[in-house]
Amino acid sequence: MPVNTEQSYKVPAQVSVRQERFGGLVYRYDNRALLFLHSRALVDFLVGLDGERPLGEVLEEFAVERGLNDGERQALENALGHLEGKGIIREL
Amino acid sequence: MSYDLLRKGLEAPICLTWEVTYECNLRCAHCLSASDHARPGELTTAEAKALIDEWVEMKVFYINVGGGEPLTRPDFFELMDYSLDNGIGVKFSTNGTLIDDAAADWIASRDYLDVQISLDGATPETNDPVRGTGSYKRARRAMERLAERGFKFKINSVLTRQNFHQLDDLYGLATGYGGELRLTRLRPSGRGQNVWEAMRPTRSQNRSLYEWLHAHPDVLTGDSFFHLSAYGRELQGMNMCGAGRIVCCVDPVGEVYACPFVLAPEFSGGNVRDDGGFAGVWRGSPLFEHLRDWQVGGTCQTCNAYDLCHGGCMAVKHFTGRSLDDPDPDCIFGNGEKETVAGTFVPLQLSRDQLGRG
Repeated sequence: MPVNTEQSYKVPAQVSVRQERFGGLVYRYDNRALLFLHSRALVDFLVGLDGERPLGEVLEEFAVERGLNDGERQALENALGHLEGKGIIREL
Repeated sequence: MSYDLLRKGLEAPICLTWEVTYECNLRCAHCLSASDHARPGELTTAEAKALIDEWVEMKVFYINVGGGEPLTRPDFFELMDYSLDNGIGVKFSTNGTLIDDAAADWIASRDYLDVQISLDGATPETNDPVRGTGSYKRARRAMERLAERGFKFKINSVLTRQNFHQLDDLYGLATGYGGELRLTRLRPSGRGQNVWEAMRPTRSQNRSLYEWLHAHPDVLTGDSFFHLSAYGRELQGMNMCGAGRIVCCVDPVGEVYACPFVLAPEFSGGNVRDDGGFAGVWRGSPLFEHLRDWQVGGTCQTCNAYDLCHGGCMAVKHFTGRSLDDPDPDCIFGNGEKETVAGTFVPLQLSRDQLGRG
């Protein structure tokens, strides 16, 4: 399911995100699910996601900072949609 | 999940075992930490909280709390509240004997708390010879108390030759309470050394267990039986030895061991009271660095099942007098069979410098 780029998102309190060499780990305390993320960019994005601004705006800024091309930016957005489905990010 | 990715170790443990005291009111025949009485120098409340602070900083996701019987520690609830309030999940193992109404109320009131009650048989006749007279009845009473409060707990059973025939009954007991069954492999650690040969499941039982676990994917194992994945299909879990790589164990006096089944000096990476604390041991211990580089050698390296079992359990090999490069004693191909010398320690292949504290 695609994310709504006009809305703000954040990582809910019951989710913890940790950076690792290969990308990162995500743990959901409520259902004890552990996820392995193999993209450091995705993990860094999650760590910096504060829910203050619309997701599209944050994505654009992040893509510029990291020098992501359109394909990479779209892949990041797709991954966020996947994570929303797993309850790792939540629309505010 | 890529074995090579994880075997190199993580920035912090995903979870760790914290044995909070060696004090125990039972004397289980197979106790992996040979617990009986609290030992001098167990961590104070302040030291324990400082340790939790470190884990919060490192983003350890949850801790598996055991002992000894953790509820014998007077500050147990204070420490668990401190951990939970600071964002670290708690899973604690108990024999259940000290879960009175007040303890049950506290358990039922907390989020992100899991409780495992140990039971090594579905009847007193099977359980009590291992865990002590009356222990079955007292564990069941604890279960009743938690069930009355709607708390879904786990029953943790060490699988043995003697209780294997009650697998279905144990499963039924746990699910009957709305909970889950967790099975653990018997290790020849602690007092387990004395009973390993008499209680370890037979080869045919292990074969049946492999099938049974595949038929019961809701049964938890804590990755105990990954050596059986060599039968062909991976069991659930990470299917690898996580010692010093993704897990570790802190004992009551602050020693940091590679895993809870190797509470022996040769497997300690250091102490949380050392300079650098827990993080210093996890990140800099030569022993842990060695484990992250090490792969089981010998026969296992040429076995076509190596990608499934990775040579089996380090602790079981060590405490049965085998080299860590030997196959697991319960290797499904029989490669690990030789006369077991329980209690004979084979040194790790580490230099004196490597064994120094990091």
